Amino acid sequence: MNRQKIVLLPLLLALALTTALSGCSGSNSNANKHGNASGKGEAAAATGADSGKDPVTLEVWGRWEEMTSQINETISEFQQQYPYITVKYATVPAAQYVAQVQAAISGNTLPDLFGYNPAIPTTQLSNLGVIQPINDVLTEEEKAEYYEGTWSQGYTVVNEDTYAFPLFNPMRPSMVMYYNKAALKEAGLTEADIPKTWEGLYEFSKKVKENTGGKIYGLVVGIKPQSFLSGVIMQMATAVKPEVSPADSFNYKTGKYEFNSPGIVQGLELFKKLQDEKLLHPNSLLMSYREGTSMMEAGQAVLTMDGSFLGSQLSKDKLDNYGAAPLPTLDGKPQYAAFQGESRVSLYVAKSTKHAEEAKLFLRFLKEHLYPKLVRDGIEYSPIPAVNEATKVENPIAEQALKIQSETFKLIPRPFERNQETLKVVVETSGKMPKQTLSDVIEGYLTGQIQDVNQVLTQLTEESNKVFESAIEKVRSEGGNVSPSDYAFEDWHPFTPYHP
Amino acid sequence: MSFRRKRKIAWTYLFLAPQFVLLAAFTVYPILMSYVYSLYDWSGIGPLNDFVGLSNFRAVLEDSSFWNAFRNNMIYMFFLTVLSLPTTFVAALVLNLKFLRGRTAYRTLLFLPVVTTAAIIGIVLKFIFGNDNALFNNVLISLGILKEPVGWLADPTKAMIVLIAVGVWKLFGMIMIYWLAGLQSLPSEVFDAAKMDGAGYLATVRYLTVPLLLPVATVILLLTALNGMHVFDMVTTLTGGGPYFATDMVDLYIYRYVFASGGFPQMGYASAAGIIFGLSIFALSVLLGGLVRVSGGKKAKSDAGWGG
Repeated sequence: MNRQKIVLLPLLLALALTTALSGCSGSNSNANKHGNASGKGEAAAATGADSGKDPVTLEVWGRWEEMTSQINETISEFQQQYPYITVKYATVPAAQYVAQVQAAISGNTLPDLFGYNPAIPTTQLSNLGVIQPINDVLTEEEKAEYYEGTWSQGYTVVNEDTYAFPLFNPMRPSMVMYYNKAALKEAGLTEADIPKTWEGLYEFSKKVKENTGGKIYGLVVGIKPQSFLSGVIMQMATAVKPEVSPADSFNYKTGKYEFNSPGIVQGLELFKKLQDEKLLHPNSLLMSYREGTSMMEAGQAVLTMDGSFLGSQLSKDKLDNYGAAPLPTLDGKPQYAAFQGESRVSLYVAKSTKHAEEAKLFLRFLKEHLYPKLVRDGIEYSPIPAVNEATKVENPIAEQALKIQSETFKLIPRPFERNQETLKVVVETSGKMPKQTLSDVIEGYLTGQIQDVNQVLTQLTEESNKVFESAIEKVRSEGGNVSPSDYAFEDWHPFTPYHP
Repeated sequence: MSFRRKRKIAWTYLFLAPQFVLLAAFTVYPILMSYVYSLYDWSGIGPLNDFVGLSNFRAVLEDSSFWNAFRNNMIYMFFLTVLSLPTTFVAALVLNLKFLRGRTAYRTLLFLPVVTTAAIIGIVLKFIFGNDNALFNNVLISLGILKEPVGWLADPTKAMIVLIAVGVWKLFGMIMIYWLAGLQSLPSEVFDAAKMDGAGYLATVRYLTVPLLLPVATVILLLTALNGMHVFDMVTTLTGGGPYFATDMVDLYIYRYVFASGGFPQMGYASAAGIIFGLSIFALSVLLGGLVRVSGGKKAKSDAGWGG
């Protein structure tokens, strides 16, 4: 008898627990049905039901970690204003983004809104029919408020239809030099000593190392696995040969790639000299750009070179300890960063969405509410100059970096504005350029695996031009009206915004 | 065939069906499709329109970067196998000694790296083998072996040595367990007889253990070699294939063409590279499988001998 009780008791308890749990589940389902849910989204859905509109959930994929706080704040405000809409925003890691979008396109499971990635440009998405025009999101007057060049063919616009909604200032990011004031002081130097020329950078690095007995280095720049050093060198190189665009090492005067431009070669030689004389922090060769930056933050090096966006990511409680300055150039001459209309931080509305109106409503809301927050927190300037002028940047380092960025960016020639057929060449060359990049060459040269850097860069130039010429030929063979002359802009004066 | 037997067979197929379906969906189908993709210039998005025949294969075979990665794979596999097989065998012999106390604890300790995520190991070791203020350099400097920090991962040869050493360390416990399983499956009466005949420990190892373990050894060789062909996670996190492609491996090469092409993914090209690499592994497996067969034959003969 007792034995039976022992067996029965746990069974009864389990039954009671199961009933209780299923009871919870049952009441939860009822809650969903009747709008009495406790979750944030469900609450919104519930209120929506009360207000007579069907609850809507918008799924959004972005890949910009730096604005997570600002977009969440904006979404919260949006959901308060439109309680029937729930926005589920996910930041997809940059390394996985293309694969995830690829899989979603193949499986027809794209979210309602998703972010731009240069690997899958607007032209291709529009050709595939997976994004829809958003012409009615902004009026022509509103579009005119944006930076010049924002509404460029192939990027935000395809065949008169607008497809991408910009979130950040399109003229970004430029490369900036950041410094640690405490480390500078420890080296017995002042902000007046921050170098403006390459020779100055060399002398500065020597002084820092000597003055600190090798405890602190002058410069640290992480070169792997993702590196900005190629961007840094290409931007600095514009002070030597400005015809070669710092965006892609393409010479827009000759219409050809030129990785072996004197500016790039000399920039590489500068870093090699710093490396060989042990003036560049030795961990630079092993670290990613962000790990390198953290060494500057920790005071192990005075200087680092990073994107303009770094300012908003430095420790908030130590902002007084940092400063930002333009990159040094060969002889102190000006440099520039190139803008061609690509709006790298923008959102698309998927064609498959069942909530296109709500998605567009959300985009309009972002214009009014997200843009000022981005500027306020120094994440990035918004794509509207008036918003940027009217909003105070609350992060002083980000403010300095963004100011340097706005002074650095210049509108350069855009072949697709001259001939839209060149967009087909973009598609043809995409992903087919040599897999050995300038970043790889930098690593090989600094580690001593490449002896003759000029020869390697010449080979890279030749291979890139070969892919480019083959792409033009292929487009022509398929009936496209495009020629190499579409890429040569003899009337272009670098440093002056290009208007044909 | 009786109804009962037919029903039994039907049930057997029913139980096997889920596995077949999953195998077909997640193994057979992707392999077949990679053969199809390799014949197209395809980005992985949109329809397969641009048939290019075998030109992806030709391009892969003509690409020196592919052969560099392939060579690195072979170097890694060779040294991983050559270094880990004898060392793990010795470790297994020691940990199989009955009088050794705490054997289980030692086995567990040696097995720990096997169950640790390779990517995490790569990240941690990257800092240990760093240049300035890194653990490994600091230890060597404090012991007076080095005068100044060495860039272990910034030099092509040293980076490969570190990668192989880490690979051996990571795999050590697994191969040792294989050896232990082999050792423990050997017939004890043979060893008792040898002991009675006055054979010493080393003679027993040389004339009994090693010949009897030969079939197991060839299987372990096969498994170790195949393991050495897939080092994606470790390489990605520890060296990133660098410096300047010195530790680049084929799976990393393929990954670059699919996910880090600097533009559209080149799925067709990457598929062709994957097929070439897959076929190479297959050829290697066949070769080593032949060895297993040969040594298995010896075992059968020796078994017959013992039986007779």
